[in-house]
Amino acid sequence: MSRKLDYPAAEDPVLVKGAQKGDMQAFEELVARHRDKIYARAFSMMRNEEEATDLSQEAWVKAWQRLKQFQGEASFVTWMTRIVINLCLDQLRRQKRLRAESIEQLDEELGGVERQMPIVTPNPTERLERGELRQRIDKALGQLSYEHRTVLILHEFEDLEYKEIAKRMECSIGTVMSRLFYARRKMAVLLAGLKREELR
Amino acid sequence: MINHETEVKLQACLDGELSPGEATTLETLIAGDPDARSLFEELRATRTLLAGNELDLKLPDTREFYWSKIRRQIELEERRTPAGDGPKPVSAPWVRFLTPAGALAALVVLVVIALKNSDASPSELALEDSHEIETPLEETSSFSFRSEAAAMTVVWVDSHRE
Amino acid sequence: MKKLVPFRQLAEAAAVFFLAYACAVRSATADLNLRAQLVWGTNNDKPDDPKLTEVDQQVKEKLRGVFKWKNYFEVNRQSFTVIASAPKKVRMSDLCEIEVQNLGNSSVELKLYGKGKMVVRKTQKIKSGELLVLAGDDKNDTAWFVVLSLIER
Repeated sequence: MSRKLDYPAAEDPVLVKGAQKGDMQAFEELVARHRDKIYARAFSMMRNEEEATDLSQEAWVKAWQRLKQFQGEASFVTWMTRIVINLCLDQLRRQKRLRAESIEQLDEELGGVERQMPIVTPNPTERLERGELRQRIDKALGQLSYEHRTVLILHEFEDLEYKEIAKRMECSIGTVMSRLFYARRKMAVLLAGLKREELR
Repeated sequence: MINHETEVKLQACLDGELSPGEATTLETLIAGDPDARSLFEELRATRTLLAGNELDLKLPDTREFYWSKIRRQIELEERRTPAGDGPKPVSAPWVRFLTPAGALAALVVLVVIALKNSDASPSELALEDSHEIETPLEETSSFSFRSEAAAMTVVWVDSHRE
Repeated sequence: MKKLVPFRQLAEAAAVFFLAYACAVRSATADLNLRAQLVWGTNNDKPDDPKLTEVDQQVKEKLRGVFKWKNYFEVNRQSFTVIASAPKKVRMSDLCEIEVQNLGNSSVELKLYGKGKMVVRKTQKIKSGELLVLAGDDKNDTAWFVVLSLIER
């Protein structure tokens, strides 16, 4: 007699195996388990709740379609995160064609702006409650351009190497390095509470 | 003053993206040049600050609502591409054991249950799984789902925005 | 000679049969007493229209249990009876109407009209204590809901 699977207690690899055989309930459990993380990654890149919800949903649908290709070389959630990142990157590329660049953004893209920022030392020992620190970081991320935010997220939070980021963002490694450099410098300024205007 | 090329190399040194030879050169620079050292420290402090400090976000949709949209999309995609790579959804293990004779037996059972239910009073009738839904306008689509916890059947109408 | 079945007994049996049949038909197509609520869901603490009030607690909790919005305000509420032979049209707002048809055996067909066009049609059994909800997005990350329920008598 086959044992009914205890879905909430089952580990991811067990659920993935079940889902690969067509068990929708197993897949639904995976969705429930990891939906926040996948949504959060989409939101961090898109900065729009509706878009992030739509893209994260699309990622889950694609994951179901590609489940047989998942061999367990990385964790399931890592594999899922890659799917949603690629969808977000595609969407950002589509939007870039339509988006009017602000002068400031063009300034950032051309480079050199970061030279106007003095060296600052964001104080990691400042007594900020962790939640407040995360809020400040999130707010600062929201002030970067899409390109700078994306490269920062992929490097700092997804631990991708320059080469991998360049491949995903369809740009050169040099561009990745410049964007990452600018993004980090701007984050340092924002987290130290300084504004560019105050420095002139 | 260090040039931009050196600045990004300092960053690459921090990120472990340099070859051993290049890394040694940069380390020497950092040790001997106060500007390089300050910049390197700023980059390192920023990296430390960001590490593990992403905001925890919760998906606003409830589990049922979110899943119902995903499931609907999966089913739509499967109708479009019946020979696709994805696993075919199996609703229950016993489905695969149905033979034609078994199907007939099941049909008989269903008919008997339906006849029995037709005698019950309206307040005792449970909501059926089968339902009919139509969305005639081109610019809208809909899907239906059931929340047992809320004792609610929902039809969500999607209007397709540009 | 065989005795024929008395005519009188036959007539009584027929009368009983037709009476029973009429009762069965009647119970299968009983009138439905329904309530329809047009509700607006939002994360704002106050509605745009100050005249709107919060929807009743039971409906609010059910909607909150399924949807993401924090607050639910009642735009309109209509109570009505639907008999089997005649669909009932109910105006919920200037732009929104519903039509409910009693299909018998506690089944209804619910049609939603927006700006005079049918947007969606749903057939559903409706049970005491349960809700049938039509819903969709509205502007500025809000949502509309048409909530249909049986009125307990």
